Amino acid sequence: MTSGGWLFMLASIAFVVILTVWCFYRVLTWKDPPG
Amino acid sequence: MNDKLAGRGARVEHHHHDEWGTRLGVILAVAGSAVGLGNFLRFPGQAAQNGGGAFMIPYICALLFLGIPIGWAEWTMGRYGGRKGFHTAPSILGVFGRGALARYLGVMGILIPLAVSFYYTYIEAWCLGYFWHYLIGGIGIDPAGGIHEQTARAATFYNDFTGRGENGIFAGGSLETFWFWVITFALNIWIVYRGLAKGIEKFVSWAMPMMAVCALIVLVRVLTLGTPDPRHPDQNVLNGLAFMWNPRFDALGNPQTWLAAAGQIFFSLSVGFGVILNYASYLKQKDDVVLSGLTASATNELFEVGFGGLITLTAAFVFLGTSNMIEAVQGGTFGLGFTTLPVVFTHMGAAGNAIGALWFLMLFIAAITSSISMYQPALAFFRESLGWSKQKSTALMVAVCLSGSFLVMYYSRDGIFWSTIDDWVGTFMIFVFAMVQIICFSWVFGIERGWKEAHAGAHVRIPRYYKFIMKYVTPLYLIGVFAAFCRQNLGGWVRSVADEPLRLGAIALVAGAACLLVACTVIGERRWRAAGLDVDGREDFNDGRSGS
Repeated sequence: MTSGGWLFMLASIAFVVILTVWCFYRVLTWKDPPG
Repeated sequence: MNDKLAGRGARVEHHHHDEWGTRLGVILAVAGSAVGLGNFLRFPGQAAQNGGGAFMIPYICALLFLGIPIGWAEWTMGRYGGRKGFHTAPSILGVFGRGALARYLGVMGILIPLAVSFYYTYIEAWCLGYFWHYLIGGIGIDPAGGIHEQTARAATFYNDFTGRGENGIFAGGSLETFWFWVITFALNIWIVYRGLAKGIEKFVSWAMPMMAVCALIVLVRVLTLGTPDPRHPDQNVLNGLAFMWNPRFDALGNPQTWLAAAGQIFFSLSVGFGVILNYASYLKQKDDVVLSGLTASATNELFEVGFGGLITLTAAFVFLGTSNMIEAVQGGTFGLGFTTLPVVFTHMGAAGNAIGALWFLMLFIAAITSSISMYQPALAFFRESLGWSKQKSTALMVAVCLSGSFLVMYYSRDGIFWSTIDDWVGTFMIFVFAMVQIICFSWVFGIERGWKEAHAGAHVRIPRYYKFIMKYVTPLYLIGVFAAFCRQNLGGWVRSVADEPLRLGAIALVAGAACLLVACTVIGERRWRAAGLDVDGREDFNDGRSGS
């Protein structure tokens, strides 16, 4: 695998994993304002 | 029902009393709708054929400029429509498009999921059937045979099982496929009939994690394959990943690469389908749509890039090598999934059948979480337009879907019948409907009002430059992609319909379904007007009065 291959693979997977984790973290830790 | 609908104050009564149980539930339901066979089978093939890792550049562009913005528009329109007492595409677009034209174009938002369900249920039944076969010992591929013999055996099984050889329900000389179709269809109807919270939400809340676990197990197995055949040291995991991910930047100069990336994002995210409009219409007035839409899209991308991008081609490469891989990728989505991978599982030794079973179970779950989302809009539409009870509406929905899906299964030769519906409805019409939606949202309803509505109750804010993107970039991008798509495909498709009676039959089936839906819309419009609902979206946008 070329360095370009590693770069695209790791960057793409990091992007989707970080985005998903961030989104679910925000969804699951959201507290509705009182009232 | 008419009594209930009399007068403005009856708006609450017009609702179906369906609602989501939890915030996570609706996100998982939309994500489940988006994650389907294409994530695991179509995406890797498209990437490998269109620049490898470099494919991700146009792919991410399409995600940011097409998929996510259209998704936000659909979530917002759905929730707003729900507040006005509407739950399906025709009525919601009537509001956003301010009149009859948009309302009748909105029929596509019911027709698309309905017609796609005709063949999707059938394909889902293949996944269930393959899962069953792997559970009881495989599909009869000789482990000692050569690759070509094994591929031929896998192809024979696939052709027999799916009835590609001839029309009729006796695919491969038995009724096996028919029974898997019956089970699949019944399971879908049962889940949808149970309702949003007790049916769809409950199902996806365990199905999505289960699919992730199956994918993770298969991924770990694939990434630990090493170099299974010492006689072919080049056929190893790293080279398999390289086959998929090594970038070929010259492909970026080819418009086909950009078209393929946009198409993949588009079909993968379930935007332009009518499903999100329906699902989001059951949200409460101040429920978030921005973060929810983004989370559903992100989940879909995780399955597509994280699992689809690492599992499918890597596994196939390790056992088949470069030359067979090129052939496999060119064999398309179903060739890869139902012919190539069974050969790969045969080479995995003792664990092969278990991995095969897990793989097809995962595909089945991916498919069913999508197909239930295709039945739900039609059910909601019959209730909403005809004012029928849930039982009566379900009976009509089942009658239509049963007829359509049975015809697809019966006319199985070479997959011509279902692939025609896939071309014209599952591809062409989705483009058209997405354009209708983004224009209604950004231009007719207005981006300022749409923006404000999207941010009501939002947990995160959309960057401001997305106003510009949603108003100008997304529609132009979409029109450009659609024009290129038509230029490439439309002439051939029209000619092929004229030449093949099965294709004509498929078009007639879709036309029949469209006529039924238009008739329901006519009836529905009269009822909604009689009930004093804001059918043409004339009321002030900022009316907290609606539905309250």
